[in-house]
Amino acid sequence: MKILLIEDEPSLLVAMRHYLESEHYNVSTANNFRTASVKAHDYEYDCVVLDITLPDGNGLAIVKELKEAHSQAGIIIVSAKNSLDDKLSGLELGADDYMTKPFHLPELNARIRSLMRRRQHEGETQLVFGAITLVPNRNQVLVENQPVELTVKEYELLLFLVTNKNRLLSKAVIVEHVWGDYMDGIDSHDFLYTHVRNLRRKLLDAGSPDYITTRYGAGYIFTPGE
Amino acid sequence: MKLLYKTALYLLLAAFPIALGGIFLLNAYIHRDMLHEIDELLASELIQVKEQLRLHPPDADDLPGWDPNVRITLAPLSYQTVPAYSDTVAFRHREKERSPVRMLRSTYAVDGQNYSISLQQSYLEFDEIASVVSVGVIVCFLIVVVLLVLADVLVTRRIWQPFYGIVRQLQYYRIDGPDEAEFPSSDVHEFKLLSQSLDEMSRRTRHQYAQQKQFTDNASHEMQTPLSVLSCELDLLQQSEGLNESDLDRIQRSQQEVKRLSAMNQSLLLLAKIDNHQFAHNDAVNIGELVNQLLTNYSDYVSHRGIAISRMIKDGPVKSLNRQLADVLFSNLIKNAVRHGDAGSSIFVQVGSNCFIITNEGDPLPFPEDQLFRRFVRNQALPQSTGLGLALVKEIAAQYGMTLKYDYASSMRRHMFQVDF
Repeated sequence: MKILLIEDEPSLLVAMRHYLESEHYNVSTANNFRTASVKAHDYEYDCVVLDITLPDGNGLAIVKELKEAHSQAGIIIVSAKNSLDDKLSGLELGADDYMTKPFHLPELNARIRSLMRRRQHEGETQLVFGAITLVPNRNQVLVENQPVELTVKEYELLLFLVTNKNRLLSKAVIVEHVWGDYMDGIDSHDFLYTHVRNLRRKLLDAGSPDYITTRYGAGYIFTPGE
Repeated sequence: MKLLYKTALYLLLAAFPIALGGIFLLNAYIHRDMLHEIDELLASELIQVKEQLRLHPPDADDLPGWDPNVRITLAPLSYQTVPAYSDTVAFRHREKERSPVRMLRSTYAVDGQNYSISLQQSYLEFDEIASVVSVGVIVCFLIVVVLLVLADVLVTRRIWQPFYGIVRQLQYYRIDGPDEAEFPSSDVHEFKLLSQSLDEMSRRTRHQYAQQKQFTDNASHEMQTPLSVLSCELDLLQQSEGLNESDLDRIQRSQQEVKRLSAMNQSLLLLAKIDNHQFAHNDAVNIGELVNQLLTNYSDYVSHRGIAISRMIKDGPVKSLNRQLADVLFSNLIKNAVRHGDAGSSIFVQVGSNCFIITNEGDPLPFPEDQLFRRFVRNQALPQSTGLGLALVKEIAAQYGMTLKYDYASSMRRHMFQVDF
């Protein structure tokens, strides 16, 4: 899957690239408006992740250019401004998602995956992880072809864990993804533990092996058997 | 009442006493002048009578019927007087009524005869003329005033046209609007001045506003970007092999601090933006709906802590607020109650047509009550708190002229926050 990263801050670009490449994406980068515009024109990408504030131009103009060229690429805006106006104008121009800085790399990964699922596979898709099968279009989880009843939050939790499989995900990152910004500054440890315990129990009861490992004090890792 | 009609009304009201006073003054003036004229008339008549007496001395029998206005009688030679004027009343046979007259008495000696002469001139006609003239003049005056006022209304209405244009423009003036405001010019110097000054003022404020907006935007970008780098580096570091538990714990705590710093930065910027009135755009916000939705967002956490929420939420009060600010205002109050509420206690939320009330159970404030809404005043027991949440609430409430009240009922250990909108 080809991704174009547009970001003027070099260290951030390196970190993003590193993480996404280890997720097996094919990553191109651009650190200014001109290069970004040329690359966006000359190549086809599945997803473009772009920073609005660039030294030589406004990232929103690239969104416009992509849309005018009828590009099929999914567009995720990353902005340092937590501004509703920017968000609305970005989405209005045709961007698919909007993230504010600072963000977590697993969160970026989850947003890209979710966008790709929505864009590329309009039909029935299944994500298979060991004994667990997820059907994102229907928000359904199957273990050994039997549906498992999960709450909305448990489903989102599982989807986030499998999207970032084999990664250590801290509790704060998980809570922020599943419950949103509202949980800012809320002590999330015990809270998340309850939800993970319920999810784990439901999966185990359905006959799935235990793929969720707890790293005490740090977070959780989802490691499906191959 | 319009300035125009007010001026016209006062002008008309002022015209009446002026007219009334004018009648008396005019009457008195005409009277005085006429008296003078009558006296002159009598004096010249006296000279004529004397001339007649000198040339054609009449018989003594003839004297009474000579002229009703002229009475000549014979008088002893020793009786001599200088001409004297006096006012008196005479009976007039023709009109059969008594009327005021002016009288001139004199004596005249000629050819050894001494005549006593008394000449009369009735005031009556002159008085009538005086009042007719006075009333006529005043009526004309009033008609002229009314016509002038009417003309003034018409002219003023035309002249003030640009003023209303400027006011209309001001009503639609938005500091964050896309276009520079252009106030209509006029050939009236004062309005031109006003329009130019407003143009100048609008340009200046728009410039300042744009600069402040740019500053906050830049500050946001410049601070959030290094924080993003930090956060992403920590994310990568966390994935490294061979980290022990305390390493992971350190990464975790660093992440938390990055998060807190970022939240603090966001809140401070939000405060700055509110101070700069950068949230000029308002939407119709359904408060009941908003509060319900926010409570739903916290429901998992609330039930995890065993807190029961009882709601009395009226559907609807719709207020004109900025959506983002309304969101911050109510979510901060709810978050505050949820975070500080004792586990296993209850939170009461009420939305009435004009107020929002939220109460939670908990220990008394660890700092004086008057510091509650100050920036960076926080409960040290909650390390994740930025100490800006309630400062934002206060600022937003002030922005919309809402009153914010806090109370603590120590008997029930309940904190209460109330917003009247």
